[in-house]
Amino acid sequence: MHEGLLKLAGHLGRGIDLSELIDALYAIRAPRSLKGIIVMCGQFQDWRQKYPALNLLPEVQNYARCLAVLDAIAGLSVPDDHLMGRKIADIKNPWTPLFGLGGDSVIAELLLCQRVRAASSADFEQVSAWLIWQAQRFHARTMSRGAYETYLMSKTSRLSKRPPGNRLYEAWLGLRRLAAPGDSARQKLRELASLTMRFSPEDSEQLAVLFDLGYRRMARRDRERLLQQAAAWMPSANREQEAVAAVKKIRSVMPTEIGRLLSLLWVDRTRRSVRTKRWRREFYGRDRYRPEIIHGERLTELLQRVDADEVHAGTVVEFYPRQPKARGGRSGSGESTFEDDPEDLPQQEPQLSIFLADGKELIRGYYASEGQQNGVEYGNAMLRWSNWTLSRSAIVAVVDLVGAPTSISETQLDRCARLAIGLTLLTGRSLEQVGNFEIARETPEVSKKQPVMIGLRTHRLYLYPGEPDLRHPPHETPPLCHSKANALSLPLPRGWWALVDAIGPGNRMARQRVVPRARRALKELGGKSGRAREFRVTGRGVRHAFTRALAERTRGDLGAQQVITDDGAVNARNIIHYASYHARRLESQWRAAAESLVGVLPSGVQGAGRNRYVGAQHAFDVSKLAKYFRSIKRRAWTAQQKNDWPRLFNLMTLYLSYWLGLGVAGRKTLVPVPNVLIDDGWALVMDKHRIDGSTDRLVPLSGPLRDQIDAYVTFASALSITAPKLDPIVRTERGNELRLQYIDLVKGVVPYRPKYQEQHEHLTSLPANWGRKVLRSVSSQLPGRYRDAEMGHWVRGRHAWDATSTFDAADFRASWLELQAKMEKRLGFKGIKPVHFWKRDRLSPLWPATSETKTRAKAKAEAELARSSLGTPPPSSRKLDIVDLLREVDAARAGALLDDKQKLLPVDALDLVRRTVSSQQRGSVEWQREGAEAACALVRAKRQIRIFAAEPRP
Amino acid sequence: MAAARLDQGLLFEIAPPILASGRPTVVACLRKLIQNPDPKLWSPKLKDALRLAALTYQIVERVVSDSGVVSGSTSARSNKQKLERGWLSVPASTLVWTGSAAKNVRPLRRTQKFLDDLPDVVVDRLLGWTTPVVIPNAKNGENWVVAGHVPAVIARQRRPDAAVRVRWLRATIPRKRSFFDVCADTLEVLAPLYVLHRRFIAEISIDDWEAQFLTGYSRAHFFRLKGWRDA
Repeated sequence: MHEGLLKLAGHLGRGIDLSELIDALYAIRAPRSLKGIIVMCGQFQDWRQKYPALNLLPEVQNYARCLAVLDAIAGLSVPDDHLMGRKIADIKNPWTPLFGLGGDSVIAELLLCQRVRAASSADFEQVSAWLIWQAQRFHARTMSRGAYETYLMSKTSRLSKRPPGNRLYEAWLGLRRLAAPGDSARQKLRELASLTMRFSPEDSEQLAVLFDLGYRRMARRDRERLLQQAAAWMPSANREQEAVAAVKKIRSVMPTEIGRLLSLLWVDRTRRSVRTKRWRREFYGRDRYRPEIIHGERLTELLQRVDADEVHAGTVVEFYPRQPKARGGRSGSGESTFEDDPEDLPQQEPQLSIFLADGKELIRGYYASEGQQNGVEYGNAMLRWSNWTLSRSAIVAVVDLVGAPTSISETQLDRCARLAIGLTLLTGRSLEQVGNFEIARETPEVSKKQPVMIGLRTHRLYLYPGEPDLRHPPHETPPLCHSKANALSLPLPRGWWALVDAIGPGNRMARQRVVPRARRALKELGGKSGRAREFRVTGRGVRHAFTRALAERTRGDLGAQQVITDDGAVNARNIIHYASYHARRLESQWRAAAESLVGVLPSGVQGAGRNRYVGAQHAFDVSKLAKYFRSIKRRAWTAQQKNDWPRLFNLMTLYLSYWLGLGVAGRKTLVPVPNVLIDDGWALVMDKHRIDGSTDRLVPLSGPLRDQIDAYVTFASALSITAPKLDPIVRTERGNELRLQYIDLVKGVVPYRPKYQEQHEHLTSLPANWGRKVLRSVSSQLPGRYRDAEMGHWVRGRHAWDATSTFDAADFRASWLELQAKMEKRLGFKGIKPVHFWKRDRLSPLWPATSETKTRAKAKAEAELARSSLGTPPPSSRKLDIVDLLREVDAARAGALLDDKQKLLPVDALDLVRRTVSSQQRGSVEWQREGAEAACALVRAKRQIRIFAAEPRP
Repeated sequence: MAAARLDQGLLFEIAPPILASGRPTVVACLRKLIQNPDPKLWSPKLKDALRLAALTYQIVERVVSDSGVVSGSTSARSNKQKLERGWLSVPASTLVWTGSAAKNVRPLRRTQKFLDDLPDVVVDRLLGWTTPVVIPNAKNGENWVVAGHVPAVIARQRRPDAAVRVRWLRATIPRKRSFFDVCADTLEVLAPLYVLHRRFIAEISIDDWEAQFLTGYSRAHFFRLKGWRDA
């Protein structure tokens, strides 16, 4: 119990017992801290005298007694700064007197804000009192006395659910906005005060109906009935006109948030009486299904809707382990003169997933939960035959639809919709992406904001290529790189020219209108509803037809798909950070894919400039890179001739770090040498240091690279008598690791950082992940899956090294080594071996140090160790009391769950389970899973809500 | 060299006075031998001390030759009073000393070759006879070598993964005396002893291989010496 409550009970004496006190506090939903409760009650007493309507609240039993207790509290005069609220005035923001518990009680905030004179106008005071009157009605329908008592007694739970999304809290925020200085706000507040003079259900109902008429979209019949009802309330003869005027006035005066609260509380009474349609609405506010990411201390939650049209429709919350910053990552700014890419996007798998199925059937929900897991893998696998694969005849029908002759009766919207379907087929972009295409007379300039345009004169489609999302996009071409192309273009089929001409230039139709019309056109394509449909054409099916055709030409290259379609499918947003393409070559592939769908396209000059590239930020010029590496080798040779051994060693370090970048397609890391080398030259690259090993990848190392590493170790060993700190081999518990070092003339031997080379050799350093970018861009002859495997880019269902994978490792190795040999030759990578020392064979390098791979068992053991070091007892020794846990997390909703009389919405149940898991993020994964499963089982048993917890497959 | 003229600091660096179970160790005998180069009676420990001196001489002579330093630039400091009782076992890879400067980092070719070619048995025996004296640095886990530099170099170069026994000083990190300076001074101290007993060292060597490493004599010379003795 909070000490404030005890103190208050003590001050009140024996005349008022604890139960009565809680009843009284329940009437105003006082926050748990009871900060300033005495002044709060004093203010409430004042307002009750001024606004007598506040003295009545039929929804609460013994309200008169409650008021008497509140008056007794107001009459207290005790030397207690907390209860007297003396420190409230010191809070920086006078609008947040409940700082720390903000949102728990809007009534308390209104009373205290008045007390600290946050806004002193009479209008504001009157509207505040009116809002308290409304808030009491809102509370009566949303929270039981039992739930409030649980809240008051707990130490952690909150009274308000999602304060920013709560209708009442939003109404309070809306009112606060009107208190802002300025004539306009003041005028609005004055008018609002005039509207809210009377505190009665009837007046509130009228206001709510008038607001609904001005705010909501509704059927014409419903609108007429409501308008009739509103007119009936009007006093004068010309009632209907007066009602319309009142609607307009309220729309301009009343803040939307307050109107929505009113509508929620009162409109149903009228709708019931005039028999209009009543829609389902949630008392706490509208359910929001936008993807939502919450970063906790140890867990990251991702909430999103999944496949609304499919069997496994529902809401899913996935919990990902939050990773510490990668060891040895380059974080400092100014490390490189290049504008480097950000870190890879998180791509590991969730450790726990909670699924709330749509619909009401539990069994169906269970299968939906299972199906959702499989659906993710199914979608990611990008199978040749999927649910939305179109038949050849369906594609022909789509092409015919787009190329059908235009008629006079056809509206402009229909034409735009038809062309949008055609553009989806040609680009693989969704209808939403192409719905706002624009037609220009001459060659148009596409941009990120207007990515799809058509040139009327040339009858070509121009596309802004997909590109990585960079925090600081470079304004100039980075050094050693090719210039970027701003557009890709494709000639439109001749059969579509008439449609384009009919639409004409400069005619932009709103996407919101084009997309539904296009969808309807596709739906009607298979035949009128009611008959057996010949084929099922959807927007997704049309896109899939193109992506499949493109994948055949690019050997399943997701990067190329991202450049053309810009849809971010299966980790393509990550891949595009590395993949760059020769623009004209990609245009040719695009054209070939399009021709396979729509027939032969007219010939013409290619749109992209000569030797321009699209895709990743760095499209490296291999010849410039070769020159760059030649210069390093030349410097090394000069250093050797001059017996400048520190410089030679430093250049060898630099050279090796670059070679490793190529050899293992390395990420940003200061320890680029793989720690584990398995037999036959395979290296286990762990450059993201994830404890679950989800990003570890196996890469075969070429022979020359291994020789260079040996030469480096040998040379370092030869120098180590005079510089004993020069020890590239680190002995760890897991074995020996190889590290790169640098001899600084001032500091001595230090760990290698690229900036040293910039300072001393005046070299423009390459970005740390240059090798990944080069390899991704020059390996077009490899299948896309090999390219993803070498980069470590995979998502559920596409993991190359999983036990169930069908990945051909031997072929991958042969292809990779062939590519490596080719690139080493093109870039001029040859071993730098100081001649006098290379013959030494005594010190066989200790690398590879260990063949121990980090297994899942080991990861688990490490996690167990980390957990035990935090002092958390092992799960077996703890007993899970899910009811206590739920109460601790959210007393109000836990109370609603356990109390059969109260209503608990599915979305609230999901939120409760989600927060329960989140509250246990310091515990082990097993513990979290156990808690989630127990919570879901309780929710299902108590309320038959279709919620399931699952552990996704790796 | 007369004991009176010998710098005590330098003597500590070459042969710290270390006892084992109250009895002098080989390195302590070396100290005695340096102070009295011509003993009347050659005990087995004294002979081992002579072998140790020869091996040390061979190494420092190559270091000086490779680096070209001359002796006398800095003076050594005796840390005898700070020597703690007991032994520590530390990884050889944590032993560090200082070169003259980073710009003088260079490969010591002759030294390196000599160390590479040393037979394992000689290495193990040497590490059994003598022990470096270090000052542990708790911050980074390194151990600064303040005496017994040559065995430290051998341990680090030939047995980097092994743990070596060291004696330790309770003191702060010392004034950094360059490894080259230590070698140059050591050479000056050991050269007379080596010249005086070179032939004797060959005679007491177990086989021609050891004689080769310790004295630089060819195999033919070694057998000639042995034949002359046997005759």
